[in-house]
Amino acid sequence: MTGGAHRKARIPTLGWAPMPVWAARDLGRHPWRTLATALTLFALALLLGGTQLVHQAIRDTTAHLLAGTPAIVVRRAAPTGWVSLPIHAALEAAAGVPGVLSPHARLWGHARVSGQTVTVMAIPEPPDDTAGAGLFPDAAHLRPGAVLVGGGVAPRLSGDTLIFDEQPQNAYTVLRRLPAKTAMAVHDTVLMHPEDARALLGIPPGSASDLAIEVFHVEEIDALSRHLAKAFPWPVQISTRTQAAGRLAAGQGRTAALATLAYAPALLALLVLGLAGAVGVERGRAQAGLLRALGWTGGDFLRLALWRWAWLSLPSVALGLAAAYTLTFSPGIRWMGPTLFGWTTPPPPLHLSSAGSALVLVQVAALVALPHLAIVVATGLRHTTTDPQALMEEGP
Amino acid sequence: MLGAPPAWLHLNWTKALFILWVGTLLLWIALGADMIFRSARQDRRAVQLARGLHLTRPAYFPAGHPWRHPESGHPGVEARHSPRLPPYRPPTQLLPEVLPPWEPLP
Repeated sequence: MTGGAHRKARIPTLGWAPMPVWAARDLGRHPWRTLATALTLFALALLLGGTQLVHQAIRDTTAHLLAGTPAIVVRRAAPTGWVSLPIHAALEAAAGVPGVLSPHARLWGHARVSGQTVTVMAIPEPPDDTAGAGLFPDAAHLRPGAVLVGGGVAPRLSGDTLIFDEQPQNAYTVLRRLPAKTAMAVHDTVLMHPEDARALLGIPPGSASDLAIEVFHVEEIDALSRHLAKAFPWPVQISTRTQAAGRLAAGQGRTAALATLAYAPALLALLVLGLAGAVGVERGRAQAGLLRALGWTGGDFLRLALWRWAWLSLPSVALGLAAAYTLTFSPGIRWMGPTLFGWTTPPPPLHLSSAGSALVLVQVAALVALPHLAIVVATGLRHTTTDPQALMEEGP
Repeated sequence: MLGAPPAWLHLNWTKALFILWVGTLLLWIALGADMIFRSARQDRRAVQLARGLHLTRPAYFPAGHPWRHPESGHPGVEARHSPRLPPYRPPTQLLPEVLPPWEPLP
């Protein structure tokens, strides 16, 4: 049968042209090698896709939330550590620095609930609550003795009662659990009335934990920090959004370096695939010689190689990436919390950016599938220039 | 080396691979729809809440972790043991007369 005639023949199995069927049956003639290759590609896609998706998700999450955070946070420092700052004097000092916008006093701290550290924050009081207008529909009902809790605190509750380790004699009523969509901001946070927060954190009336400041231009942050340090009548510790971004970039650099280590087993696996392909080609010399003798051209061998790749590589890589996506973004996924972030309770979900995640998936798919395509094509065309009789005589 | 393949591997590979292909395609259509649907509806409330409460960090590090509230670290405590924090520079306001102004090491 000549190379041209067999292209028009139809096999009644699925009504297809014979080449894809031939390629599928060729894969079936070496089932263990086919399964091993498929599992290797699946594992490669899962490992690379998972690490890159997690890294991308952390970047997206932080960038998404960091954009709206205060530009500068001022805390009063003392040789013993931190002390509360008087609100009125602090607001006056900050307002005297040109370029400072809307300084807000923050009342927050750390406490422990059944051994778990939580962040305690007071609901902003008027007039500071303008930014939060409409965010707390229960704020009017948040009297002293009532709290709002995030999803990460819920496992530590005793029914609808919250008891802090520092105040075992006080039982706070849980008015509402904050919805899951707020987890990225307040997953392990307790929101309470300012009077309760002061009593719990030991902050006297008229004082606050620190001062959150906005600026007119982002470029002014570093310059304003120096002026702010001199404006207050006591030593202060200043943290800025640019410092946070810098620390984040440094941390992400380390995470990216760790993610890059995942490429080491990937390169090894590709080497193994290449060797397995080369071994398969050497053992298939006789078959290649027979097909050449029957009139197969280089184009036929190329089409066979491409169909073998399409049948095997594309679904293996796609399933590996699907598993990576599921392990990263599925609701209720837990493994990242204790492994990467030190959670002892269920962690909040990561932010899902469709554009960022899609780009990562396409990149990883190309990174895994294209080298395999090169291996398959190179090995598939290995014997297209050798004499068919020599191949049949030398091959097994 | 592995011997003859078992009976369950003697199947219609064309049909099996075709079913695998179609199943993978349907799976990715479902995941794509999930990606588009969820990414548009997720944490708008979290962003609003973070702004309303003037929060400085997302909550994917637990409370008490140095990365979650680095501003709450003691100013006199060396924090270089934490790989997630930059080299520490103490505020000179705390020790103006005991030590000379802080200078980087050569």
